Amino acid sequence: MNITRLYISIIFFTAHLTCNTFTVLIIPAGTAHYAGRSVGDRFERGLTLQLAHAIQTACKQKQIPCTVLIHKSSDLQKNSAPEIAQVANRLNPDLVIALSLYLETDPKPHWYTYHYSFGDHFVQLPTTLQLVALDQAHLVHSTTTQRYANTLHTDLTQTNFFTAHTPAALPVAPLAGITAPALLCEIGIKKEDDWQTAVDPLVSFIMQACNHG
Amino acid sequence: MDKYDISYSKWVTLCGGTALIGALVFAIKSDYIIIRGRHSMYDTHTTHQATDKLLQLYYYRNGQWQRETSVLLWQDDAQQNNFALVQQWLFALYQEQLIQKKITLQSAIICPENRTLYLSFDRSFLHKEATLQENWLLIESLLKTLRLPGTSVSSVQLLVNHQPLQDPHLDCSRPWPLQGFLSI
Repeated sequence: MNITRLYISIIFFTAHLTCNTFTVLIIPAGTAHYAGRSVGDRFERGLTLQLAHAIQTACKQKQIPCTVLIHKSSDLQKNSAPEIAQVANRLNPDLVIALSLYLETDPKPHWYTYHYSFGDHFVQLPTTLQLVALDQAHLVHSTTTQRYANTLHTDLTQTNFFTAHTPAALPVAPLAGITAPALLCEIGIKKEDDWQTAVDPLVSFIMQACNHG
Repeated sequence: MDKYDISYSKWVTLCGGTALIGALVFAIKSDYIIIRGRHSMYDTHTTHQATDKLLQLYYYRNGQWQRETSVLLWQDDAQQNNFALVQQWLFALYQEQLIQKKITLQSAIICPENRTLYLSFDRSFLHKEATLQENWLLIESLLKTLRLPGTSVSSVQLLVNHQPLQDPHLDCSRPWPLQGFLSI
């Protein structure tokens, strides 16, 4: 297991070093053990992976100067947060997007955006070189995270396809311990193929983040 | 000969006596024999007073907070009170069909040092199919119910079978502040 992880990390590192561009790490929902919520006849794990691949392809097609990496969790636990944090912190991406889909019952689909906080968003880490505890990792880029969350929210409000909820600061498990700016997007879909509706808003958001840093 | 006989009986008495004392000490030390006074810690009926108290149980439904008034037997022991309150809250959720299966609260223990209330359930009360928002509001409703005036609790650690609650969306590995995250 460790050798496989090391191998994957080397590939990611190589990709990261060769393309010295804006790096986006996408984390689809679910683990090897947990398939996620059911949407029709399918599960969240497969649908979010499809969505992640579609974003990666769209970014290439639109020639956005960024590298999109997808993390597939091999963790056998239901909560894969420590493994995700390890990979994300090793890669040091510029943006982390965790994806989550659920079966929508309302006529207009909802879009929830979360970023990690334990009620300590006002805490400022010292600027000197120091070791950062895992439970304070989200504070390293808290201002950038907040800015990205607001950008995405403004985008979604303008497109008006989704009911965009104001970004909330919560202890969300997939983003625990990640130092890079990280957002969790929970998107409502009415049927299995509706994940495609989320591709354009996310690609547009990546493009904006990429252009404005 | 007579002298020898007397000496022999003395030795037997001495050995028997010391063996008996040793056995008694061993039995007391090993808790085979428990000695307690007349007014011990077990006489609870004289020290604790219980009164009926009206309390609010909160839950989130149809886009707004709903509250239900419940009468609880209020005691001097904060742990017992919190235990009864959470049990009542779980029962209210079950009645309102906000949780599908009956959930039992195993223990409610307050750590006086960090003022954390440790609540251990027999299973998670968070839905697998629900949105993160719904599960978040479920935890917020528990925190809102526990926010009593004059409470000594400042944070709540959710446990399942005395282990941290594992949820794929919400991080319950650390205690949640009693004030929750709704205002942030």
